[in-house]
Amino acid sequence: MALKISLTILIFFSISSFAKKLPELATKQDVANIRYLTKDGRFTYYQRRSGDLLLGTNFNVSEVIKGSMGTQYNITADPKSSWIIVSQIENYQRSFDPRLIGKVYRVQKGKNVAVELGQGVSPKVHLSGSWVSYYNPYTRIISIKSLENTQIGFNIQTSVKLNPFFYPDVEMIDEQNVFYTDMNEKGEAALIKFSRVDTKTKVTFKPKGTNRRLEICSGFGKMYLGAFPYQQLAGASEIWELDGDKGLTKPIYTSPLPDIGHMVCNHTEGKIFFSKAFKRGKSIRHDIYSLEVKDSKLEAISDLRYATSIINFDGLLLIPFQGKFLVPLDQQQAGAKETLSSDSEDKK
Amino acid sequence: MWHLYWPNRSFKFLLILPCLLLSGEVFSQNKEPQPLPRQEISIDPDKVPGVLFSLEKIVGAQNGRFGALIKKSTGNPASISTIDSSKRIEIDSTFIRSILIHTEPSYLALSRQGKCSFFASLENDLLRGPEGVPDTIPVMATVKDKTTPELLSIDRSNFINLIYKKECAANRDYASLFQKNNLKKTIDSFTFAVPQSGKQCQNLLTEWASNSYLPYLCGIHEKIEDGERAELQLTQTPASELLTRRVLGSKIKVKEEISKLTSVFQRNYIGSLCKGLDDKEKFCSPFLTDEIWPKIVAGEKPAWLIDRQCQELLGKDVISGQDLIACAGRLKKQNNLCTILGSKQYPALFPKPNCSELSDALLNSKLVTRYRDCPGNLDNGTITNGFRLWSHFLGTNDQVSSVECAQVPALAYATESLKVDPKEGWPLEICFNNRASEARECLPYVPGPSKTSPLSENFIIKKILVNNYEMSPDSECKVIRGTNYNPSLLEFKNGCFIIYQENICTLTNCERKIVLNQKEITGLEFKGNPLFSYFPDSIAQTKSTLQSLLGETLKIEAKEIRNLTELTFYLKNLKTAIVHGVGCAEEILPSFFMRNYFNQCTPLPFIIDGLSDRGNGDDVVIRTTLDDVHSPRIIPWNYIFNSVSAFQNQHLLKTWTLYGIKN
Repeated sequence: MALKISLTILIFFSISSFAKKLPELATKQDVANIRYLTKDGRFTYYQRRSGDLLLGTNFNVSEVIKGSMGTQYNITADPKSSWIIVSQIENYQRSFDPRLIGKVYRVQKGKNVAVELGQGVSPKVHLSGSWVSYYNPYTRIISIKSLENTQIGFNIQTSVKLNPFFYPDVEMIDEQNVFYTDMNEKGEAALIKFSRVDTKTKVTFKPKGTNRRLEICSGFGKMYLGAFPYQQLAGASEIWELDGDKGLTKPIYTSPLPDIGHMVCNHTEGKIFFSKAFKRGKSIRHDIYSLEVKDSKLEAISDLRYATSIINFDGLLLIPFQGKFLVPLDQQQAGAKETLSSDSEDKK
Repeated sequence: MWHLYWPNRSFKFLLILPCLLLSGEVFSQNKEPQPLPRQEISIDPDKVPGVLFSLEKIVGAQNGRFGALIKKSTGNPASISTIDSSKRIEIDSTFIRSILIHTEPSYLALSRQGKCSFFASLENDLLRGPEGVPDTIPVMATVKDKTTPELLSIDRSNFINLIYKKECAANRDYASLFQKNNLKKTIDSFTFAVPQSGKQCQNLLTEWASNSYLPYLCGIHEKIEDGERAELQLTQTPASELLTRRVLGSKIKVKEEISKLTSVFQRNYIGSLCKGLDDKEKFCSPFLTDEIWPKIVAGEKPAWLIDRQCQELLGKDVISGQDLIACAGRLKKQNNLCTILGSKQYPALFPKPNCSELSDALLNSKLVTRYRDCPGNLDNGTITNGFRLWSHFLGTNDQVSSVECAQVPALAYATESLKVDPKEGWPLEICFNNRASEARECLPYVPGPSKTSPLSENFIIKKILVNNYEMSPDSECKVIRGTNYNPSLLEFKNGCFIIYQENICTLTNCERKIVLNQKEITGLEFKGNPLFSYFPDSIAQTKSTLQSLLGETLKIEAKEIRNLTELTFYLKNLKTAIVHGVGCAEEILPSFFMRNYFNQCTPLPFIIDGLSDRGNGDDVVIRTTLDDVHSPRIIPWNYIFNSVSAFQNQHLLKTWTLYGIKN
């Protein structure tokens, strides 16, 4: 059976401001099944209830990975890379533990041949999608592998943690150096720099106290470090520019309120999108803001009060909310509109 | 029955102590003391110590006089039979002044309520001299066959008996109600009302202060405190001091007897009352504060909300009333203490909420949590939530050590599941070659040690080793951490040891070695994966889910919760009802779980057992299966709604996974 699967976005042109209602991402395929969609809309990776991962094109459907009922897939990729990274999580519906280790595969974009790279959680692509990292929460080892040649790779042993559910955030500076976040046995976070040349680690930054979650973000050749509180009811937030050699260089943003973060830095050059806290009555609430790196100017791009995360879906900025995906800044989603236009014409 | 405990309101209030202090007209049995107008007081510093002297001088001078008085009076002992009770009997004024200095202000306030209160306070060890509770009382009285009063020393109990023959006879009846045989019934008949406002609290305190039973209630409180002090003292008393140890032992026994007959709330309420008689803030503030800590100390909220954490904080296995006060004080003052407390021994999501958030959450929490668990060592949230739900409805009360903290929930789940489905209720098993039958056999087991459960790993391995590896049936298998195993030590030379190689040993991830008499046993295979559905994954699945297990074992009713109105009704109007479900961790705990992928959802079970007053009224009290059960968090209802909505999309049957349950 041939399926035509393409992205359509329901744009509400009458809506002039996000303050009303953000358009919702809609697709011909059930959105809940989609795992990855290329920006041009040519390839869709989606999963079936049976546990299989499939590749859909305009004219064909093929199986990528076979799985059993209840298997879940996550996919990450860099828009510039020719690879996607698939994480296959078996027993997803019956385990209920965030440490459930999945198999990590490399798949060429638009192809259906999967090569297993290893096992771990939280895979992330680096250096324009040419490397991948993933983490084993039981051995506390970060594995980093080249996607071009999967024989090339190295491991980083992280420290003993007070939080058994801690995942490090990893960012490769270059092929020899890696930044990652860690937590020591006292529960204090730190930004660590690992050098592959001498396999030594060095603490780049260590904030005071235990209520600091560090988050690394990169895009357009820049790196940023966010320090956000774990406690949702108290704590301050900061974002710095991060340099591979000098460490923290320029403070970009500070707030006395407990932002959530979840920074996206690779969507618009010079802008960081993140979930920022604001006061509403006696409560703290969160919305998505854009932050100008050059002048620290902030602008709200959602008015949802409970917007806790934002993702860059192959160039499309999406806000997950109540089981749906909302599209902010609709006038800037050029790529999506182009895809949409053909579908919209079809519909007409 | 309540009216029985109200005093006769006809007694006359006596401001006895200023009168006693200044006039020297002390407790005449024939005259009622009258309050002296303060403006007429002229103070002679040589005779009456006062504000012109330092406290040290006052106490020193008074003690000197007291010593001389006792020396003189004990030289002239008297008894009930030698004193002429028809004549005037006065307690010596120097003795009264000493009581003024050495008695706790709250008990002074109590004794000033009237002469019968004074005598009842004296009877119940509430009034103290320089050497503590006085054994004898110096009195001016007349010996039989004589005509003039003289200074005599009389045993305190004799003095009380003598007085009660003349007046305050009702005190005898009151005292009998507080004897061991009647104590429980008496205490249970009181209404220990919890005030809701400052005015209400003031009225309550005034009512209590005039209650004739109050000195006896405070006597009970003093016996408890005496027992607690004795427990501490006993640990520092050498075994050779037999007499001291016997005295201390009897005080401890009294305390234990009282503890058996009364509830923690009753004891703490009485304690707060007795300590706060002179200052309404002392009594009222714990009830009127918006923090949990003083409410626990006052007994308004149960001690088990924090006692397990206090055990860890204070390094004690048993928490006394004094320990609870000390622990609550530290949690109140050190806001960040709660973020880390217990994290090493009982691994869970870190950091935990700080003490301020924890206080707000516990104030509005309903879940019964009289145990410890450690989600970091248990890698299936269905088991964690199942155990928490069973414990809530069954009122489980366990002391769980850090070694057992993952196994206790797993054992509970396995036991209940096997009852319902003996064949497939529990998937973990140890397989071995039976040397007698030469066949491969498998036995179900639950990882971890237990002293009693035949399903536990140590019991099953022992069973296999006894039947197949010549292990002595009299020996036991011990579960230990790899870091604690040292084969060169004598204690490890003989016997069976199950050695966990990793510090974190979960149901699915645990490398272990079995050693019997220094020889490693290699023929055992640990099989199975503890996977359980929380809600049905298919239309045909009617059993083997937590939802069905709860229904069968607890006979509870479940109701789908779709909005905040339904949640509020359920939690506020139904006494034991709580709400449980599964949502995406990225929505429930966004500060801990980053969302990096499209449709990413880490399923996370949770229990909601309260609504927080902290914010705008739309925040809930939640415990996820990653959180320490004693560290609930406060999050907006919308996070829950978003998380359940997101998980519904990923669920195999697109099920809405938020249910209220009640029994």
